[in-house]
Amino acid sequence: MTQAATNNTWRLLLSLIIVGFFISCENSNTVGGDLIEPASVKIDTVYINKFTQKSVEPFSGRIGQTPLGVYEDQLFGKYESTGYYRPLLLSKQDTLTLNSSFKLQLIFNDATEYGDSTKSVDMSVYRIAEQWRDKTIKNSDELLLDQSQLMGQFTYTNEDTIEVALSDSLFADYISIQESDDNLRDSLYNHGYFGFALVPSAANSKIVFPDLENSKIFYVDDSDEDTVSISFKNFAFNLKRTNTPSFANHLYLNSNLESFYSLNFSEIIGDIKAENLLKAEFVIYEDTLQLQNSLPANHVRPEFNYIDLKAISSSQFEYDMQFAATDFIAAKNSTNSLYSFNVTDQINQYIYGSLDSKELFLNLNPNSGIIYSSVFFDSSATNELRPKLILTTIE
Amino acid sequence: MMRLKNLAAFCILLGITFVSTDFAVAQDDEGKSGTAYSSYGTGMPVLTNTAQERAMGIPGVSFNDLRAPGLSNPSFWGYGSYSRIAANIDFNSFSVEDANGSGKNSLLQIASFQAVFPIIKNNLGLSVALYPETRSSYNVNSYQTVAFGDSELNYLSNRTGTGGVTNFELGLGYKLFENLSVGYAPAFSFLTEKDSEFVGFTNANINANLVSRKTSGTSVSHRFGSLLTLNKLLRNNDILQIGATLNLPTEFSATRNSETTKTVGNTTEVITLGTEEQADVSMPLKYGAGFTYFASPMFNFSAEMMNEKWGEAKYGLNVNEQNNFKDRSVYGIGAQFHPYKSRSKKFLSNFKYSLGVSYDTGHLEINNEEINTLWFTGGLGLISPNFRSNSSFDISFQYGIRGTTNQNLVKENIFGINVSVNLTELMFLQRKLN
Repeated sequence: MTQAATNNTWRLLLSLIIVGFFISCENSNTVGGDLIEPASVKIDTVYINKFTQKSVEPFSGRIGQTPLGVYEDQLFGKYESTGYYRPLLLSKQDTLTLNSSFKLQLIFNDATEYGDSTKSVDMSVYRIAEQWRDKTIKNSDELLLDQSQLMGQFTYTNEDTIEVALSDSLFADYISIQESDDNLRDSLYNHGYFGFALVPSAANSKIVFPDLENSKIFYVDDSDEDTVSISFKNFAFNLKRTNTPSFANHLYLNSNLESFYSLNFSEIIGDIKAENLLKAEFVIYEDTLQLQNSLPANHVRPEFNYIDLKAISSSQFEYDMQFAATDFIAAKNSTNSLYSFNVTDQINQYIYGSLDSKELFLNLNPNSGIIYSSVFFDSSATNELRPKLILTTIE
Repeated sequence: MMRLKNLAAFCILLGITFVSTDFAVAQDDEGKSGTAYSSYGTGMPVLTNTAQERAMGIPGVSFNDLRAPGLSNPSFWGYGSYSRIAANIDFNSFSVEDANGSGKNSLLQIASFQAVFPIIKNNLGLSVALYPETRSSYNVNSYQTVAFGDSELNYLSNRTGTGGVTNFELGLGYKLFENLSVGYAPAFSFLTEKDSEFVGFTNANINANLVSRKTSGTSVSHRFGSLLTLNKLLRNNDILQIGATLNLPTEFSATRNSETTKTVGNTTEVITLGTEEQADVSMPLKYGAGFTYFASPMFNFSAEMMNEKWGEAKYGLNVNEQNNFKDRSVYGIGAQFHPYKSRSKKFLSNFKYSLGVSYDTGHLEINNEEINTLWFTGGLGLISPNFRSNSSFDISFQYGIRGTTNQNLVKENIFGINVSVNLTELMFLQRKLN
């Protein structure tokens, strides 16, 4: 055989190998899908039966929005909320005199309200007569007020912003302290000036929620029309509760933390037979029918979209219950009126890790200042509506 | 110098093949894309015939070519004075079709590697070989749904599989008499299979999951062969070779583990699913017989058959698959024409030509359908002109029709190319003349 023929043959062979290499890079296809058994995904349900009801007294200081007003909810009882405010002490450069006018400007960022939407809210302004700290005050703490002298009043209907004229005498002490020597100002301010309260009229049938981060006090000097704004150093609220509800066959959640629940997946782990768990969802169903039926015409409740599920293991339970980061959040599914928590990682720790037990707390977040309440079906409901763990597994 | 060049070229070619095969596997992730039927048991049984045997459509139990060492019959290795090394490379393209659609798969792989050394020239030979006995290679998607409350959950299931039973064999062929040789080849058999199952969801809130199942086991296998050579039967220069082989059954104590990865706490961990499975897996009894008649140096034809008792084989890891096994028979006839021996100067006379047809009943019966294959084969071979070397390479082309689209099965049109590179050299031969 000639050398040329031999060389050509080797080249042919090499070409075949290279062509074959490229041709071998094919994508997979569905042919044979009925021949080869596919992965079998299974959906299982494990019902959660044990919920332990709990309550704590939350802090009300420096919460974003303070509730103001009175409302008696047919389902959830009566709320009466008074706001407490102390303006920031201005520097000495700001010249304040009693020949000026002081106004309170309340900002309402959204139309959130609780109660009879056709009604307005009447509020009165009184001096606070005792020392207080917004970092320690709780919902149930009621401060001593000097109600012998009205410092201002207003009626809120549905405005974005409302300005309330305040009595000069409310600021007489404030101005005196503001003009004091530097070494005395702070002490005088902390021990001598306590701010004012916004007290709702007992006849109210609505609660509103001003935004205290952006609300402020205006001081207008009548002589030169100079305007100085004063933000709040401290703000909080007192929330009185009467006729608090008790639900025999429902889970009751309230952002006031007067009702939340603990649960523990360790009690149902033995019922989980999954070897290859893909997803675990903890689902609870809201009783929207009862909520709607208990609300008279033109009455509204604030709507929430998220529920928290958190693990707390520290000794500061009350503080952490309100302020610790949430481990799991469920968003509202309006179609099915359910909230679903993706707790896959938690269940994985039980099945594949070394977790034996972990208490979780189901609650509505209290830190917006808006009053939320709702009821959910418990283990006495039909299977469709009972709290459950939905497991997606591969067999 | 020419021999060194050929050796260098051969090594380069082999290296490229190894690298390209690895790269092809990497590009297709873990799965090569062959026949979906290889998902059953340890995979599709593989015939150990060379390219030219394949071109003739025969298993090769009676076809002894001194230029091309073969694995089909251990008794062949007692013949010859040359040291022989051979590598077989397979490329198969599958046009596949079922009741729901069609597609293409392809597979490039090293089929076997063998070296034969004459311990006593033309009397006793040693073979060292590495070759697959079964091969699993598939990559199949399917779209599934599962009820989820009032709606449905859609997901993609992908199954890929690689591996099979591979033999590392040391064998001897011995010429008992001038016209009778026997052979024995024990092998270390190792079963390695990897099956990956991927699940992906259109619902983005559920993470995709990949489960890897690894099956392993080892065993020792034994096979025997004999070859009877008769001369001058009908003509002065004719030769009749009658060959027979016997493979004893082999049992593995196979183990299987399944693993996946999970996020547990803040770490990603490899999780073992379930417990380790243990079960018996076996390769069946196999026997083959046939004859090759060399009518002249220019022409020969063969008729052979092979029978494998897959109906008695075990695959305890999946009894449903085991229940699909059935006995397999392969029947082949073929012929060769060797114009290169005429020393003609015409280009087409530089080769040898092969043609054949074979029918494989298959080792599976699924849904009462036998998965059989009809093969049409052909090929050519090129011989080295160097008198000290009988190196050659053979290339075969096969066209096969397998299966059916009935009963949710798959019909395959298979186009295959098989290349044998045979290096045949006189080694350790002391020159008598300087």
